[in-house]
Amino acid sequence: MVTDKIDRRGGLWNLLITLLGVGGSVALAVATSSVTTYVIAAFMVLGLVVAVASLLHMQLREREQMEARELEEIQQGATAEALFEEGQVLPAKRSREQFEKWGMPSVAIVMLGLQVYGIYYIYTKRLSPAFETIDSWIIIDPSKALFGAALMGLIFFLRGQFASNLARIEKQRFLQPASDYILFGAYLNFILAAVVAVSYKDGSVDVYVATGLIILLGVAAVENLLGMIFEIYRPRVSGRQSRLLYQSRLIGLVAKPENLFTTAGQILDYQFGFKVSETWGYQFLRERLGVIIGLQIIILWLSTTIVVIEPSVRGRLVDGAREGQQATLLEPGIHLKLPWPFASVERFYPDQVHTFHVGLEPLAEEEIPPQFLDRPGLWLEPNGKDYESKKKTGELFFLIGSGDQKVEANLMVASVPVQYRIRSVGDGELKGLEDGWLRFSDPEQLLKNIATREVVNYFLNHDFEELLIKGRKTAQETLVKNIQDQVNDRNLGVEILFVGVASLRPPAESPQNVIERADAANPGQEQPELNSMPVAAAFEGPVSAGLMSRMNKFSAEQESLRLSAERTNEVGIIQYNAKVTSDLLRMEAKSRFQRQAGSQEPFKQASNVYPLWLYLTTFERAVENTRKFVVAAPNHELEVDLDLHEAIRRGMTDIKVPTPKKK
Amino acid sequence: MKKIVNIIIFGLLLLIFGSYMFTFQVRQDEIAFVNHLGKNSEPIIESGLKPKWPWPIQRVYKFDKRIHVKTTRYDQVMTQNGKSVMMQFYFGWKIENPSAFMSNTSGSDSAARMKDAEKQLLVIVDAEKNNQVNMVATSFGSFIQGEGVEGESRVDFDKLEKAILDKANSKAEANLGVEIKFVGIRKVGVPQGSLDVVLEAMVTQWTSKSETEIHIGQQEADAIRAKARNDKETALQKARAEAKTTLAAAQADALQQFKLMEQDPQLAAFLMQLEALEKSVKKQTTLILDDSMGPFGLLRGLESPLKKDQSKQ
Repeated sequence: MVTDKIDRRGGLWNLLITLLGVGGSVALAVATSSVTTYVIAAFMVLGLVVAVASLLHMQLREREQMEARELEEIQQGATAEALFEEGQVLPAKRSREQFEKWGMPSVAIVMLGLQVYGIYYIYTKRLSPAFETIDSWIIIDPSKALFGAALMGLIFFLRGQFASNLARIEKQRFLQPASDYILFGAYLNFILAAVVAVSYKDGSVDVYVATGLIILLGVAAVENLLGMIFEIYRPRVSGRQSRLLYQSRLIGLVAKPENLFTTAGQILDYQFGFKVSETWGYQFLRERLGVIIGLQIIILWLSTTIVVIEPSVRGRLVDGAREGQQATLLEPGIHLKLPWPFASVERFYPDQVHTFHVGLEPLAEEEIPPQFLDRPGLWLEPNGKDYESKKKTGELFFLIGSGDQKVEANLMVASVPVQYRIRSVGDGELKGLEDGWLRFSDPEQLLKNIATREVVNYFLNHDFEELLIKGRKTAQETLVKNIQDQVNDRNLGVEILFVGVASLRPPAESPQNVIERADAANPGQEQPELNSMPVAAAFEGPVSAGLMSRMNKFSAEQESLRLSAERTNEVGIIQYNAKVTSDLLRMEAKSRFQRQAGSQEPFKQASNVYPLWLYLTTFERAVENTRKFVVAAPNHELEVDLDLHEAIRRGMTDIKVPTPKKK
Repeated sequence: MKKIVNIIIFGLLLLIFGSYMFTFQVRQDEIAFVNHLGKNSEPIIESGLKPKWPWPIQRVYKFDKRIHVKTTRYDQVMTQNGKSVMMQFYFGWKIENPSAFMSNTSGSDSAARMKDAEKQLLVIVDAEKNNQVNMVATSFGSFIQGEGVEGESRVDFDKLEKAILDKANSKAEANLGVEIKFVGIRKVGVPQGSLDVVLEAMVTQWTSKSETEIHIGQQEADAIRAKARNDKETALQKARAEAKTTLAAAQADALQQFKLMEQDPQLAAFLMQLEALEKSVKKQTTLILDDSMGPFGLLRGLESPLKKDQSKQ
């Protein structure tokens, strides 16, 4: 029979220490709200279950071995024939067998239940809420967490290292599982201490590390489940040692990473065909890996003494150990400082232009939905960061004047970019980074608030027509000045470079759909009769109406111009005709008179010849170009047929037709 | 060698954790208190590295003494005539009396105490904000500079902020040892329940504006057309009247000439006949004459019929 070495005292110590671990980690988890601590507490509870199970197992096994020795002594002193069969006289053995048959699977099932519940509880109650507020996540009372984690880590490490090595050297297989858990608990607490230290700078590390540990807990649960399934199909051979179901190989591997080297060495030996694991290099790496990692940690820590400030960046070195003035402004270059955590450097970008948005922040290029890519931005198709949630709370809308006495107010959606630069040094009364910006715990938030105030105030004093049409340039200049004045009043040390009022628009919502009505689902209730036209569309109404009016006026003006031109022409013609007729009338009268006056004297002097001469010359002239038929046959009746058609123009018959040339 | 390296690593770790346990830093923009078994020390204002006993014997509270900025919720504020307006404020505060701050705030650590202070300040500022807004505003329209709001009745941001600051600051100093450095209005808006009403008014405003615009445009166009037609008609009538006048004047002038011609009417008639003859007989006219007309009497012999005509005349 194989004899196991049993150390019940060691098992009891393991139980007490895991109990301490459970109490300590639960207390730390409650006090600090650290998610990592909750996961560690879950591992510690599992460790306690393993410690209890292994102690029980040890006890049963010890009783069995004692019973076996007693039986052996009885058998040596007894006759050859036994009074009873062996199975009937070895109750301790039967107890151990029953425990291995029923107890161990039960413990494994309990562990699996604890693992699943732990994952569920931590994921839903702790991790998910933590991810939702990851930007502002902090560990409460971190000094307490740091102290507690370091203390527990130290205690666990001392005990775990001792017990685990003892179990390995003396091959105490019942001591091994709980010892591995204790050593693993030590590492977890060291990780927690590191997380708490980093959380002074960035609290979100707690959430990320907790996520990693939750995954590890899940892997351990899967290993446990697979172990149970394989155990069902494992052939049972009498006298062969049973596998300890509550022992996790994964935890053992993490707790004793040197086991990895053994496995890796075996694989390498097999693959290369010679004993790679016995070479100098492999042995050196195996023995000094811890030292190398330790040295790297020290180098990493020492590297915190070097600070590199890049161009256009300023560093503010705060030496916490120094008395009086602790801060020094670092120019670009390499600087030395005390190692973390004694001194720290904050980086600022005073020469760079920073931008934020008042109102709706536009979506980044990668955030724009595919249907809006490469399309013009329309008022009726709005988008922006948190658009829907801002619409629900009403924060989306800016209150502005209506420009109409009958309408109390208008609403507008605005996205106003503000660009600013932090002054690296003050200039006269104007403050800079050191004496202005850094006087506030959250100067950027203050600047955003000031800018929002000035934009809101400006909008309240103006209406759509002034903001969108007439006064854009004035608005930009006034806003820059107003924000700058406020910033100077608060000595913020900032120069306002630009305020843009390009992205102002009427709401894309209609009166009907701007509010999600609770009674919408209740069809029986009467809905208020509201316009379904989006406000942006209604806003475009006057614009298109104005365009139509202008077109109408333009057409009327064109018609007016045409009528005016017609008028001028017709009046001219009338005036011209009147003038010409008048002139002709005058001239004719004058010419007649002059002719009469000229003819009067000859008419008197030669009253016979002159009229005759005048008559004949006039007759001659008058009939020169007429066709004349003179009937000079007196007292005869003539009958003449005249063809008065003019078939061809007179004179055309005079055209000479050239004769064809003879060849 | 391995042992030395181990000792160094252990020593460094001990140094780091030891320094955390037995020392603390007070930075230049911080105020610290050391709580010794539940009793707070005087405020430590001077910066530097200070010794302490590890927790739980002593615990250190450190507070940022710079100006903190806190923004209130964007919430509904009741005005004096029962209407409400959405408003959001911000304020800057600073620890002025560290001992009073420490004794009047609660929390397990510095961050919790700062949060508690902010929570108490929010209560004070919210209360004063509600009181002051209620005194000066009647609705959200009170904040708008428009045709319907008189200049003096419009809520002045600066005055309202100052009123809230004065009232809130005295309470904050007395209750918390904190000075409120400034209060600002961050946003003014319409309550969510009134959004539909305001948008309805906007749609109505702009719809009627567009209708008015079209109507006015049509009227202006009609007026332009009517004026142009009238102008044309008037000008033509005027031109016609002027033409008549001109003709009348010409006729009057011609009358003088005719009167002179009237002195010898026989000659005048003869000349006019001759002219008429010349004008009326033009090209392509066919004349059928007998030998008594014109010079054709000669066809009958040398005695010209003209002589008879002349003797008759």
